[in-house]
Amino acid sequence: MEERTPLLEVKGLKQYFKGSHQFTVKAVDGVDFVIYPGETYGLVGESGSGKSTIGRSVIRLYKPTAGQILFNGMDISGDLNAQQNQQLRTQMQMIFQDPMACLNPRKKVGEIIAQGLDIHHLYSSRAERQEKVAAILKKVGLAPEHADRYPHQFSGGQRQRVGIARALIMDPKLIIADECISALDVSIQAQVVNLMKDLQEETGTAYLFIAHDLSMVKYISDRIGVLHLGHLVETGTTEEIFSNPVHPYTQSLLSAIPQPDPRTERGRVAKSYDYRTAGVDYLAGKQQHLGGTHYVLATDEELARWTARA
Amino acid sequence: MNQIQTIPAGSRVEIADLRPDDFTLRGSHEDQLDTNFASQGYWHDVLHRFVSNKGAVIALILILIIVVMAVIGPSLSGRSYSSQTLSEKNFAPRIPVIENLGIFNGDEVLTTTTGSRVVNEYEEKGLTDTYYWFGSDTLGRDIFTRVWEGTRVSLGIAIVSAVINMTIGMCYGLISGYFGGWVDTIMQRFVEINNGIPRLVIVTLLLLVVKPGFTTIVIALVITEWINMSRIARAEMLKLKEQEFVLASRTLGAGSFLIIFKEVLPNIIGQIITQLMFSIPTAIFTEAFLSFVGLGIPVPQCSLGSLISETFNSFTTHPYQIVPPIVVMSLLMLCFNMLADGLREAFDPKLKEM
Amino acid sequence: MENNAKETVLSIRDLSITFKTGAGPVNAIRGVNIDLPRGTTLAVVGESGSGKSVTFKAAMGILASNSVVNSGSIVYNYRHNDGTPATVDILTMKTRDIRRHINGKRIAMIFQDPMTSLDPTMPIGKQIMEGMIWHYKTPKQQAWEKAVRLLTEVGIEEPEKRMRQYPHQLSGGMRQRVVIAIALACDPDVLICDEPTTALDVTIQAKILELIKRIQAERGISVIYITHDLGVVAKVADFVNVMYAGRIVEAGTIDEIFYDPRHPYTWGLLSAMPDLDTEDDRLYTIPGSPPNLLHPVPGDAFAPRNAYALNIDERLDPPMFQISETHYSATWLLDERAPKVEMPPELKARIERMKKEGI
Repeated sequence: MEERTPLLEVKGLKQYFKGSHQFTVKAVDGVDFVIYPGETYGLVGESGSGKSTIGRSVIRLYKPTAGQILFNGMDISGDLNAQQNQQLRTQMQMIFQDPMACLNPRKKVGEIIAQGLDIHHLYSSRAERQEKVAAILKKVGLAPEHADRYPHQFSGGQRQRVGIARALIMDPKLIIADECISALDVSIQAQVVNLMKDLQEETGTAYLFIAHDLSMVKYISDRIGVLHLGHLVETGTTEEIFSNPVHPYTQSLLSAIPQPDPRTERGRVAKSYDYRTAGVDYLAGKQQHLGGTHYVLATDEELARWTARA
Repeated sequence: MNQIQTIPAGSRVEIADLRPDDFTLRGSHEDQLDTNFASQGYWHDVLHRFVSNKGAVIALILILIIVVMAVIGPSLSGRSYSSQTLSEKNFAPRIPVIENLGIFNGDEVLTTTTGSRVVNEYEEKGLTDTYYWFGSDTLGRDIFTRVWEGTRVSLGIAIVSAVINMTIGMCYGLISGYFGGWVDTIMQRFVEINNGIPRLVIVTLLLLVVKPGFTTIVIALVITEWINMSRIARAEMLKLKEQEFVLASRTLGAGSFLIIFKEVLPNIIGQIITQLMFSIPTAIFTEAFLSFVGLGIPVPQCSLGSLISETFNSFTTHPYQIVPPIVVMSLLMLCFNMLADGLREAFDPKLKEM
Repeated sequence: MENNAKETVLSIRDLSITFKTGAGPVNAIRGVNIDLPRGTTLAVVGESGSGKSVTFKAAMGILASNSVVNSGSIVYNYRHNDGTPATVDILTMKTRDIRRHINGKRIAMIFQDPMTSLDPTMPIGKQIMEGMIWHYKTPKQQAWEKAVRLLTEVGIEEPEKRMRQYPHQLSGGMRQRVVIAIALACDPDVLICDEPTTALDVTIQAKILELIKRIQAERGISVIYITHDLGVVAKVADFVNVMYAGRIVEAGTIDEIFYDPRHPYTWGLLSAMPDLDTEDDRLYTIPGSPPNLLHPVPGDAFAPRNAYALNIDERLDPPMFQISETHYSATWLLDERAPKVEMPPELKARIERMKKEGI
């Protein structure tokens, strides 16, 4: 982690949505994190914590309200010129949550996968295009014959593989996986996560893995960021977060993970955490360094309180 | 337990056709090319649901018959729609063969001050070989020819204006919905203003500028009728544009044009076709209404609407003259509505199957 | 567990249900037996499409209109208001009688999404009182008081104020609490929870489960969980039924299923769940995807995905083998002639570790 140049640097990202004249939703309120090439950064948080919004701001589905996003050393938070746009749209890709909705139901799978190639003219002949589609289908564990089928002819797990193939065919440096396994059955989730790990080993792609399920995040991520109410409350390597969670919200998340072990599970009571009653002020807090890459959002007083308790 | 028997674990189950290798491990052989979900295509499903709707199929058949008659009908009787035979006016319907049954034999009942009497113009004029299948009108024109000619004109106006409406409305709605923000605001204000002016005012003003005729009526219908289509297209676009497959296209760098017409349009084509079918009877009826208030197609041309308004005056004396155009028009409107209903059900089944 | 002597509240026998679809008949439930002893919690685990929800929709008389019950019975034992015991087969009852005597009053259901199971146009107080007034003709004043009591019971603060609020004014977890309060309004003796926590955040999930558990203990009702999440099962259940492709493939007490699983599918489900101590590089997975019941396969439906499949699985569906008084499993591996197959070593190691920790 020492002197590597980061692939993605997010600095002070703010994303507000105007509900009406008086009412603004602060979905993301000042978030910093970096992703290095080839690693997986897990973003966890409950619904409404802004985790999906961060993913969408980074890939520029939204225009950030404030802050800076550096991708490959290029600032992509402002207006983009054609060349920047081209670079962003090929080198950063996204995998979506809903295996039903993320594929156009009226298009054949081959067309869906090749869409990126078509848009950026990344082949010289029809044969080359077909070859690329067949190769990528094989890579994600499908057969080249599947290219002629429509999305509804696949099961949920297979559709998610098609989604991965669509992102992967562009040979991206960063893939944003937005809750890409939460709509799948347990046995299929494991398949998809294994596939993503294998692909990462093979291609060296970095992942921004967004999820609410800490157990899967732990399994796939090198580093984890915990989001709450639009603030990054704690970040560090997976090891640091799981062995020494400092922020009470992280602790409550960890204690809520269900375990497939009835004896411990029956007696366990999840810790509760409520921002309003916990006496924590996110806006007053600053990122406190705890060693290694472990940071927590806290005021000095809060930090003292939490570490003393631990 | 009833059907599924329970056996103590580790015991021997009686198997009728036991093979020696039955209890050897085989392992999974999952063929990746599974046929699990290889179901039929979308259009096949739509067709299947449509065909199972009897009303819609009958409507479609009737529409096809009427369309065929509109094409070949005017040339069947050998008389043109505008040729007048003043000596043969107000002849009642007379059809060969059927006349022997005592109906459609040219008899008509005339009610006068002295009481009613049966008249047969064919016999009185000695024209025993002349047949007006639907009768003739007050100027001695063949009603059969004129009805099908009118159907042709009415259908023409309806289809041309509906297709133009669809194209304008669809593009307008899709663009307004996709871009949203101030583009949407401006475009929707324009729609509201346009919708606020009564149609009759626009048409009357229009007729001051241009001559009445086919094109004028189409323009009159186009000016206001595209709004419904644009509303539907906009609503569908608003529903679909936040869908993940559209977002996926955007993250791949697809342009707006590509997303609107290649990604979203194929997904709403069902609703568009349904709305198109609903707009055809509306157009037919509106055309009839314009004819009735005197803003319709100019004589000697005719449409179903102008036929009804012409024969309306002689309705009390020669009621047979008004019946054919009314029947054809009612059938057309009913059938198009039923067809549109059937299509809507076929494209968007309310009862989702498991 | 020791519940054998206990009376069975709900007893599903040999249930078989087919759905008629445009593409052909789908045999979604193929001979299901489930027993719910009084006062216990039963979990039905399975992937989507395994038929776990359909089974209990049949018990509520709310099957979709294109479904046909081919055979079976759902026998429900209850007591009349005066305490006399009664027994009915829900499948033979008229829909109107089910609505009047069973739904809500004696068997209540909690659905997955609290937003769609509440009426957005009605204050929540009225929604809680509705059932009482309809089933028991409770006077309004009394119903109101009871509704307030219920809201307190499910852990909602300021219940009087909440009674007048509408669903959109509450958070997701609160809404699910209200749904539970509605389900409890008529004092049912069976509560069916269909994926009660999947739509909620992890932290709230645990709270809702703890709540249902507390209510079950306090009221002594019987609870059925329909879920795909083994973590939920581990937390709440006494008995577990594992369902696959419309059949129960393994049934037993919670300890039997988690510490002594016998069916390869249960092995797969347990191994696929990452626990926080897993250090392996790869997760164990079950290959492939569940079968499409539109094209029925001869033999064991799980065989194509089963690494431990025997040749006989291709031809014959295995019978239910009884391992202990409460533990059943449908796999040919339990036949005398079958090779001795052990569960995957990773799973074995994990179970050993869990056993040690648990004691």
